[in-house]
Amino acid sequence: MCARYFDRYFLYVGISLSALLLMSCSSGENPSDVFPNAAPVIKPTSGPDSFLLFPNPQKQDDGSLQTNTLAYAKAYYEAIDPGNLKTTLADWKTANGFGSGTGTEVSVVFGDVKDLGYGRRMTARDIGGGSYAFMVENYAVAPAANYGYSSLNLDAAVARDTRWHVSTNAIEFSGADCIPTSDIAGCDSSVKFAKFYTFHPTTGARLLEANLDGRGNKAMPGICISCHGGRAYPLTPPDTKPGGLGQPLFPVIGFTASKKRGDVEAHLQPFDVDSFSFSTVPGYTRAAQEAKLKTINQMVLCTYPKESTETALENVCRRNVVFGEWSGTPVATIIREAYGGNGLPNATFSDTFVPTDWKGQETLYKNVVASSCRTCHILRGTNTMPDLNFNSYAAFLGYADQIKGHVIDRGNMPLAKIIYERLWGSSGIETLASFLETNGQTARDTSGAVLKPGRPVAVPGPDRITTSPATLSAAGSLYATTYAWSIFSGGGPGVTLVNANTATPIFNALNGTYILQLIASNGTTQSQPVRVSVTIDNTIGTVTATPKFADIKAVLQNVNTGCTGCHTPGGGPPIFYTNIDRNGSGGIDEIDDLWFYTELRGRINFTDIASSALLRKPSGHHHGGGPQPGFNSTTAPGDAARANYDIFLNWILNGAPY
Amino acid sequence: MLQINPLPAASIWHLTVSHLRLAYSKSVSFLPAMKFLPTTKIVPTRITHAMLLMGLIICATTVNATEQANATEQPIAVEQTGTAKPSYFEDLSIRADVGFMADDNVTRAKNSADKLSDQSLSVNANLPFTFMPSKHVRALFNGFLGGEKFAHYDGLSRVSAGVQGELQYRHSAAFFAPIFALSGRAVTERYQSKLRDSSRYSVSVSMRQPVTDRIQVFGALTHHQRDAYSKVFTIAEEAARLNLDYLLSPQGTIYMSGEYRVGDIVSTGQPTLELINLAEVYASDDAFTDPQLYAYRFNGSTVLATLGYNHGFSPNHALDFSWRRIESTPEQKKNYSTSSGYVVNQFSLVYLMNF
Repeated sequence: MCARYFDRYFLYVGISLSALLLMSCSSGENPSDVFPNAAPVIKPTSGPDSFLLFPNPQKQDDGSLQTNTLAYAKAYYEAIDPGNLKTTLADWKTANGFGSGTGTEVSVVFGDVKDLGYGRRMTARDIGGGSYAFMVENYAVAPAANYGYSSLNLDAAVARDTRWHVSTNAIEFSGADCIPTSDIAGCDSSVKFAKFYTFHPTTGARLLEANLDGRGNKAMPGICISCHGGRAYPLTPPDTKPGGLGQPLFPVIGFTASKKRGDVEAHLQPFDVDSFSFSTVPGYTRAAQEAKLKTINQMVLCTYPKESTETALENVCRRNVVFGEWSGTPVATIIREAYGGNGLPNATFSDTFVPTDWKGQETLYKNVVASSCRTCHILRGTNTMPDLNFNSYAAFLGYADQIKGHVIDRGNMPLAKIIYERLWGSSGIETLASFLETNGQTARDTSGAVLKPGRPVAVPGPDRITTSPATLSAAGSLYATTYAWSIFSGGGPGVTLVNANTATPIFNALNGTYILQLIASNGTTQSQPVRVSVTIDNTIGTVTATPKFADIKAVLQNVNTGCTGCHTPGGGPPIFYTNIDRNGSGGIDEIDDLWFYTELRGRINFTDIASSALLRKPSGHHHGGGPQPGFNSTTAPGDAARANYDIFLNWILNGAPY
Repeated sequence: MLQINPLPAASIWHLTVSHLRLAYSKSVSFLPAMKFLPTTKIVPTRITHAMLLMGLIICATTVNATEQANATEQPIAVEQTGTAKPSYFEDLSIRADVGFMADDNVTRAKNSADKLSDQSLSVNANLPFTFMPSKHVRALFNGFLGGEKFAHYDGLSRVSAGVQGELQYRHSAAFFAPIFALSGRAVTERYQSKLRDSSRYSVSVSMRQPVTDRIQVFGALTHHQRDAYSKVFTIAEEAARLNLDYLLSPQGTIYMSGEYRVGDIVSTGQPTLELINLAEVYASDDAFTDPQLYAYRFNGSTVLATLGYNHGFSPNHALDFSWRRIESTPEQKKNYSTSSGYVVNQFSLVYLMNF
């Protein structure tokens, strides 16, 4: 009997120990658990994270990106709402007559699958007199979607669930009062342009910054206008003239019809109805909202400047394009074609349109351009230099090197995270890579896989002529933490590289041309080696070796160079190189030079020097004036045909000193 | 006059087994059968103390106890013979059961599109042990092992092991004298679904009261706790249960039970705005092949109703059939909510053995 109890005893011990052992194994937590009530976490990112930022974000000497600062946002709101009359959504709605019973007002709810991923509840209002106002409540059930489109976002918009109401964006297309103390001569308050606002979802307070894509706050108006065709030029120096605000002002885009600070040449997006998702809830289906969407598209169409060739009835509401500004014709054509052509006869939107100049390249257009580029690019370019709207294959081809840089190397295109991820998750990226490879760009690795941004890319800078000792720079390299410079050719006595394993080594050499090589690394991942030609000529003068702003200005205003033939008030370009009263002080003085200098620095992209407009435009890249004398960048450094280019390049590489 | 069921604990067994059907998503746990039988066996004191100590340690370390508590239908210590035998261990046999269960909503889903049904087979073994430290007090200890295998959704299949202890008190041997009990229980479970791997604990106070020689009622208040790998399945509940056994014949017992629970509810379904709004935590449910199915935890209440019949073929064999209906209702509701919660129906057939 005792033995039997002992048996039972050991059985209990065994079971108990087994249970306790199993319990001890239950530790750990599921990393995939999602807590929807927890505060949203901004995930640390690696690799590309430049979404909703301009390719040239106006990097300052302190490393800040001026277009992504609160100062920039404040200056913007001061420009478009100088009286601070629209600091809340309620005020904004009142100012634009929402709920007043006048005008035409329509509301739609849809899933913005293609753009920011929100469920959007939009109300559009035809105020009358050619003015329009649009406000949209954005809904994002972020934990579920982990930022991205989810049908839940649409459900939240339909239900108007305030828990997931993340922001309210608003655009008004109207004129704006010109302020004598800050706006320039020629400002026209009757010219209507798009003004962008973001409001807090709960308080309704106007916001200087917002988190539109789960990657943290970014400043207004860049998060909106970067994909609405807007331009991100630098703020002016502080306006210290008598009566001035004493602080930096928002820039003027030279070719705008309004000449109003705050007119960033941004425009309304057409409603690409085919790309939206719709609810099955009665009243919110596509069929139930198709007519309203068409009404909104007609409103949008009316905001686009038109060419004289657009004579159909639906264009009567559009003003004529001003020389040099953006032309609305390409995007108007998309809307028109989607509704059946002139007169917009079709009730239903259907976008199968391929522009005439893309015939024969339909696959590339549909798989890449229409799905990943067109939304933003169709609102870019000007009527004198429209290439950037990608409305023709030739224009797209002309940007092949830049497309490779932005998409394959930098990862800052496509501009919005959802579109970026969709391109990389689709066959479109293969189509694009094949296009790039066909046109001389390296877009695949040795195994044939498309190169992805996030890998280290060595950028030693453009070929150059300078004096010894020369400071080299690998600062433009991408996703790199360490650098290894070497002398690839031309080495010998007296030729040394000091601090060769830093971003800025010193190169000592005798007169001659040398090929240097840079390998950039991130951890154990090395970039492909990239070579740069450095010509040492200690006989070149300071104008070429260490130019100042005055030297640059002299080139720009040189009659032989010819820049000021166009870059002057009344000309087409967005920036003027002539001596003008830039600060509105009533005269032209050294302060205007400082403002000129500041504007000109805005033509430099310190995050991607080779892509600076100040280098690319005069050297003939998508420049309305074509290549300019002394800017032939295809010749070797030191060649007389690129003397001006060498001056500009060295000025930029030296930090563009005043 | 007093009819003694040949398998007194049979109805308890069935409650226990039917509880098992919920175990993977609810914190309801099953109660291994424990019956009190008169004994004259004498156990060495050393072993008695050792086993008591072990039971106390386990109860103390798990800070829980069984929600079951209705572990006896016989008077404590004072048997029908009227003789008390304190400090004696009762030599109980091994209990085992084999069951089949059909569940019409294993996802515990609200929306019909998300409801999945399945069937399972289960096997459980229990090693009960009883100790009577005094005339009015009885201590019960039980160790158990079990497993359940689902036909289609194998993620729900599991093995489990656990211990439980119960301290019972009865102030007299009178027929209508109630039995009060305090019990604790700890179970660990390993599922095919890693999210559900967990330890369950419960503590309970209960009372059993004969009403007539055919009817007995049982009531219990229980706190359930489950700590799982996923916080979705880490839940806490408070439960109140009332059970009624009706002895139809010497072989047959019909029983019915109602239970109300307040606490955490788990439901699996495709993401909906309503579920997201209700959920405190959710995760992709690895028990199902559809990646669109997520398990959600939210606050709410649950009503369980059970109706069963138990038939004893002999003192050591019984068959039990039961139907259970479960309805859970979330605490919060949005104005656009389309219905209240989920409903589950479970049918089980269990064969019980005692050897």
